[in-house]
Amino acid sequence: MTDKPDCAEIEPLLHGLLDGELDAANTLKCEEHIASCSACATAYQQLVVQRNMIRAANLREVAPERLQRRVRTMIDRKKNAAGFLRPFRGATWPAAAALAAGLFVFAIIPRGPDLGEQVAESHVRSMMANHLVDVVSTDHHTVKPWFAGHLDFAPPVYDLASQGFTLAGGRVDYMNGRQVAAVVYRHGAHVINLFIWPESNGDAVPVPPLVRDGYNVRHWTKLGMSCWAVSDMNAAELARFEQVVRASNPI
Amino acid sequence: MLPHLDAAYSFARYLTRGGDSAEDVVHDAYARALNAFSTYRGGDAKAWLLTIVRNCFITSVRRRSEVSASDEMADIPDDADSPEAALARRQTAETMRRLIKKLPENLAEVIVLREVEDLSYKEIAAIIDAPIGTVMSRLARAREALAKSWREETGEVSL
Repeated sequence: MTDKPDCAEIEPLLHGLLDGELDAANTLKCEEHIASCSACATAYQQLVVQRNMIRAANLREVAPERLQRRVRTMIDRKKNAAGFLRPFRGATWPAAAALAAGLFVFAIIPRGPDLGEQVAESHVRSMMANHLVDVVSTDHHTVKPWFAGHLDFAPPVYDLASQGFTLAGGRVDYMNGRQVAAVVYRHGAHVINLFIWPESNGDAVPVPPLVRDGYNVRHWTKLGMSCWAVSDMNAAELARFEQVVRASNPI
Repeated sequence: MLPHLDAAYSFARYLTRGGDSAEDVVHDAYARALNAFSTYRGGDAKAWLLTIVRNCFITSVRRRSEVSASDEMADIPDDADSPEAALARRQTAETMRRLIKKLPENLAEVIVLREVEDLSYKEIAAIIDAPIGTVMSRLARAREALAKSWREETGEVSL
């Protein structure tokens, strides 16, 4: 393919680079090589194009309603059967509770409303009611001024496209007793709602990563803003999203 | 709200090659999951559920050694597209779907788990019960095979 000595070594790593699975040293090695080798750069570019095409194709399917009903009925029956909660007792409780939240949440014990719950519910509403964004734009120069006209604070909007998170738009939501900004990003087939409002006392208390209604939820504060990210992305990817946002400068 | 039901169903549809038995596989998987809390050790709930879906699929294949005739998968329209863009997207999606379904089973599943379900190598390795090295080599082979069939199908050289 090429006379460069280390292409054979780099080629198998390109998939790891694409999938974000390389450690820092190998990532650097790959990126340096790609910068100087057009053959490997082309090969990598093709992988990126293919990935984008597969993800844009939206290959996820929606479970038929019939199946949803069948599964719900089964869970309800199980829930009503005596002893369903017994396996929760003892050492496996935290894992089992996390799983319950992930898979069967509607069938399990009611939980007091918390902010993480509100965030997840708002995420679900935004996806269901076809009300994801009020301002549709991939351009932060459009989204940011739009918020300025609709809120009494200026939420940070980030350009994260190069890290794989494209801006989809924004909307104003109501949560925690106030108007908040919801900035929407997409990552492949996944939607991320990033809720932002000015920090108040209490927000500084760190909240560990949560699972609410099966969605991963993360909270942090930055630049005086309380930030909640929620998505159906897996926990590791959402952690990466948080890292990327924290490391980025708002536009 | 059953958050991972669509993921479970999508995966089952690929495993069953678009067969109707996907619904039964998912139903079995939830039944098993309900009975198997004690085996759950934390981590991504979706990955755990997909492992069970795959196991149920293997069981059902052994039981009936059935690979049902493939029917076309339901299309998911996107209201945000213009009609032309939506059509182009649907065609691309349709082609992609067909080509993925034509891949050998062990390659199709890693592509679906990685690109559709966005799982890490480690999670995929746990689901298909193979070393991470196997996941990596299968992904590479799957992508190469997809690129090749895409070129043959569309005559485009860009992939």
